[in-house]
Amino acid sequence: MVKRANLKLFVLMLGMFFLRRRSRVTVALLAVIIGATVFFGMLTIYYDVPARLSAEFRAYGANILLISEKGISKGEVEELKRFVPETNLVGITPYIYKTMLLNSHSVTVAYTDIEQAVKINPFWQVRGSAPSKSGEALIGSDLADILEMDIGFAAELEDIKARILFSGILKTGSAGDNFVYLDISELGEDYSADIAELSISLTGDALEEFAIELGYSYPDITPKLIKRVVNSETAVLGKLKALVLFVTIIVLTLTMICVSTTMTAVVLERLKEIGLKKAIGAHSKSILIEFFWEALILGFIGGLIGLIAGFGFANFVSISVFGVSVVFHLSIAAFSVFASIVFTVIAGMFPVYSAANVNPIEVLRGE
Amino acid sequence: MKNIVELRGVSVIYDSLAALQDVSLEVRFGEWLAVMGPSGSGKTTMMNIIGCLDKPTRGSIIFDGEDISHARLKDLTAIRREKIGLIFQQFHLVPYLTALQNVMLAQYYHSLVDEKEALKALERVGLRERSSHLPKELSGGEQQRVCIARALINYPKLILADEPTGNLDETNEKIVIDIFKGLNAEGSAIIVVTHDREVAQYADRVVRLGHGKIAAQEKDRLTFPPISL
Repeated sequence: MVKRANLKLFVLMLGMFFLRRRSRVTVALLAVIIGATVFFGMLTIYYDVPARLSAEFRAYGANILLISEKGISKGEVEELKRFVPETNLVGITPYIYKTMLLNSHSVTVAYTDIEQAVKINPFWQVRGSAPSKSGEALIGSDLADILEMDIGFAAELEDIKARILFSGILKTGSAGDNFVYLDISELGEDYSADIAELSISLTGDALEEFAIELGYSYPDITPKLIKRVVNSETAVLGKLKALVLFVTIIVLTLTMICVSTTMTAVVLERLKEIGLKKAIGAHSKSILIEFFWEALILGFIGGLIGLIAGFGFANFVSISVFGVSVVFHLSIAAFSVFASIVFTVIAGMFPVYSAANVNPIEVLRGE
Repeated sequence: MKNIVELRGVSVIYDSLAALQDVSLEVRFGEWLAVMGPSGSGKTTMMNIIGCLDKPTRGSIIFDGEDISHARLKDLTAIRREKIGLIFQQFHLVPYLTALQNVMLAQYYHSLVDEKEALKALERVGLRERSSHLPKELSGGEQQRVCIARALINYPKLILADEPTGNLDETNEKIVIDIFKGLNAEGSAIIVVTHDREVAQYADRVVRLGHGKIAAQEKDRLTFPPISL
């Protein structure tokens, strides 16, 4: 147990070292800051960017198709919206397909929640505007060409004896370009949809687990992963993560060598001081404890500064390369500071350990 | 009178080169011994052996009644801490600590830090007013006096000084000698390794080394012959 006066001197010595040996401390601190910056920055990119990108991937459209033999009601769609975690839900929309005569031509009419459908399928291009009131509709671009229709044109849906006005032309890049789109509210208070499309920002195993959970919770509804989309997303994310991990390991290894070399140089510079302390009776253990605390404080301060710099670095990389900003994760931050302390202590203690066993006369000899 | 340190047939051999050869020497409690000799005569090696900084290749060393010839390094460290005050030619102060903190450092490793005691030690070497100065703010003489204050702070049985005035001007040399006189008068055993006859003349006994052996010993310091360096 260190007595209070000794503890006071010990703390004073630590303070004096940091205050009076600023150039040495700065060099060591810079090395630690660079290490912590890279560590926190790369870790943030590794964990955050794939997560953010999986949300971006929703531009590919829905990743789960919901099928029900008895039909999906409006109430069920509303329930499903609540079932999906809010942060992961991109959109959900039901589809009811009907074949009707439009100006004497047989066409497929798709009833859907157009606002949600546009959200789920960001690649949809609407020329004109989406329907904003009853009686307005979108017409697929190919169908518009065939029927020589344009924005503002009206036509007769003979089966329901309704006159509709095309507020916009929709280009989906798929068979949907031959459909007429009406908002599902045109069907009245309730409906029974053939299918529903669900888009959530999950990938890989998490997505599969969610689909299974949904299937259990709604036995009448069969969730089917849209494999084409899901597989390509998983593959891209997997490669991206592997790439980031690979770069992280290489950069970290180089940084650790840099930190270790700097710490060794800083310790070796103080060999004479270590020799003197041993000469006047210091135990090797006392010297190790002093250097341990110095390294711990260096690692802590460097780790904290590295958090700020690393977050800036991660944000810069993420925005310039992926176009998305990163989120500050407290758990990664805490782990980074801890890692910074551990590594600085290890990097510092190796040279100190051999220095603490040095023969004082070796280092005190001569000038 | 009992001996504080006793060398019995001590040899120190580095890579087949004998730095000390079969040296026997006794230093009594309270005695002031000067060790002289030209460069390479083995003075520093003898100081390292007596100061428990090195171990003899052959022979034995009895320190304060205890045979420490085969002591472990940590035991030698403990003897340095408890019984020896070391004074170096190059002072060896910790550069980022003040004069006072440098003195307290020896207390810290020894037992308990006592600022009042450390200030008293600095007062004794005439540096109380300079206690808050860093080594770089002190002259060579003042740094040596801080080194002396650090050496005497734990009341060592033996003060071992290696060329304590080697880097000092005449004024500071005199101050240091006066401090040694005072310490010796109080009963401290002092061993001074020196080239300086001025310093040696105050010793009770002078030992002259040559080629790793004791070439001459003179009890009567006044009749000790001049040394050609």
